Amino acid sequence: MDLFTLTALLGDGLAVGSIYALTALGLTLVYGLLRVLHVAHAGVYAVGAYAGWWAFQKTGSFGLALGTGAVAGALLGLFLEAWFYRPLLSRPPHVALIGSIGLFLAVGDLLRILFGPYQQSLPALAPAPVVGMLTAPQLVVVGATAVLLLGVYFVVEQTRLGLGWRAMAQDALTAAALGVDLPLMSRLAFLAASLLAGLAGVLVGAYYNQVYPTMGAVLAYKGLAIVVLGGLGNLWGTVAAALLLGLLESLAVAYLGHRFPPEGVAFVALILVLLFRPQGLFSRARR
Amino acid sequence: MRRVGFVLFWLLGAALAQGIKVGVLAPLSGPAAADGKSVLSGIQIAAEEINASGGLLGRKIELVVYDDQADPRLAVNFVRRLIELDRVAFIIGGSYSGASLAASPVANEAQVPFIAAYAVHPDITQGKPYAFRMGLLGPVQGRVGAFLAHRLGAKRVAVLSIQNDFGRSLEQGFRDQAAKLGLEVVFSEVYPPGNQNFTPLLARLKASDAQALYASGYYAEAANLVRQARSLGLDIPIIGQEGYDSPKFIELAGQAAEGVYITTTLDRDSRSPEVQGFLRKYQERTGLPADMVGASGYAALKVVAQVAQRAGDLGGPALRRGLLGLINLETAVGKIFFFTSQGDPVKSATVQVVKNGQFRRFLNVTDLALLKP
Repeated sequence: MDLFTLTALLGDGLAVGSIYALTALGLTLVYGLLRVLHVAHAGVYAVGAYAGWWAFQKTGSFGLALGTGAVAGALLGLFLEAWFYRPLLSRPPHVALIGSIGLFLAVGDLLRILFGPYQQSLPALAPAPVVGMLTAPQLVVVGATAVLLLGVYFVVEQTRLGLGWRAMAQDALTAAALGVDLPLMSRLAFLAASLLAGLAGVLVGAYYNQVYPTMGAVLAYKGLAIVVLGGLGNLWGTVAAALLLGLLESLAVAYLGHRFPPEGVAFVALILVLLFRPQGLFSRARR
Repeated sequence: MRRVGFVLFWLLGAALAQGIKVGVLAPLSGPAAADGKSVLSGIQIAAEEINASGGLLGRKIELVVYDDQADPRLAVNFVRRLIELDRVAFIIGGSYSGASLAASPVANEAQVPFIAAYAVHPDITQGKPYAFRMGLLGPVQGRVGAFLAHRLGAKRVAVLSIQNDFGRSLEQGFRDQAAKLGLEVVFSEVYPPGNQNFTPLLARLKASDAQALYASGYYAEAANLVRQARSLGLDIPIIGQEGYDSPKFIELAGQAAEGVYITTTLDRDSRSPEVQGFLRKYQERTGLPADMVGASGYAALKVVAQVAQRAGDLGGPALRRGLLGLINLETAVGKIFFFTSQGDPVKSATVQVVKNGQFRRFLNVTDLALLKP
């Protein structure tokens, strides 16, 4: 493999992996706290992308587009937490899961009815090589993800909020007994997760210059695979699994082609992990 | 006797007042929705035109439209519905090859004429006396692609095909003609419909010494493909085909669309009044520049109506005789020289190139050796 191909694949794999990380992080956060598989997270991502597209149309500013996507995602997340998941939490877990799948489909159709079935263009990132074969959109996506992940790291590891999240994930009852405000924790977790998803939607919309109603479909199922690979509820395991998957997919497409479907990489990995390391790639087994 | 006469008169009157139902299958939602809307607009423009000038056999055309989402399963259900419940006279298939392949045998069996507006797969019409086509066959279009690569001076070519019936039939034609012209295929890959990330494949392609890329796909995939190819600095000619033929391709690909060639059937620079009239009406109706898909829907309904009008009969056998008897007909999608006994047109093709954000004519192909199925 020559240097050109190597940098191109590395840049591509990291960019795709970053996108996976941003969305899967929210999924794993929500699962860790509420034990809900939040399939509609991919719907929040699509709504964020549309909000960003709209803002970019109006203002031409990518910064404002990212901000609008983040705010739209966060608001939708808060709304879903309060009006959708909270009433379902007292039911068996599959009720929330089925509801979430239905919600995801409904969001896609709503976007189609509102904005039409077309791919809308969000031409914010000019596709030009910058360093070697790394392109400007790749650098923006990887850079933005790095900053956001540092932010999440700070919140989770260094703040009382993060402490509360970790306590709730470990043992909700004990945490509540020690004065952790569980409803607040879950509300803020949805807020953070959905904010990241909204941002990811805008980034991906600009990366591929396409925003469309079903854009969350791939992430809806791949995100779940990543969350399991990383160890359900394990934040840093999820980030590592996402980046690893992005790189593996890029290599698989380049050297195996699509005769071995690249979408399959995540699921082959998922099967292997469930067979041999069911606690996830990066989690220690519970004794 | 007088009573019978009255009843007959009444029946005749009822028949006159009643329109002719024409079935339409089009992917109005899902990933192919832009094409679905366009083909429907084309068909509607043709129907309005025909109705404004007295209708078909004196009756108004009424369109019965179903959204098949380019999904073969939905297409089969809807084509049954069109035949059994709506009792349409004939069906315009405004969908992709997969869905049309599923629908055409059902219509054929019921002896309801089925006209694929632009789907390329040979089996849609093969061995089906009541199935016809208005567009170029996939293998024919693939051959034109290889002809173009050769014409542009390439000796080594790369092929990147979308993994479905559309891509397979194009690739087959391309490879046949490439072999005849002595082109060497040095890179060959496939990708699934809906794919967005082409960078890994293109990175490897760049390491090969291909001098031109023949890539099939629809506008959404094609836009990403050319964007990513150009951003990797891959500056060899890219030869697409009618799947790219949409204003959406130019919008989504932006600057990267410049200089991309496509083989298609709508020649924007044609001087034919049929083409120019359509371009104008489409722009007026939709506010968008016309594309091949819309033009194909328009041409399909107009040609069939013309044949039925001349035959004075809407039945399958009459339509078949009429179409097979046509020669040198100017349509919105080029000149149809004649129809083969398989119901496929032998027709001109055009190569368009993107210049300043618009499709423009690069050359027209009328060589029958290349165009005959």
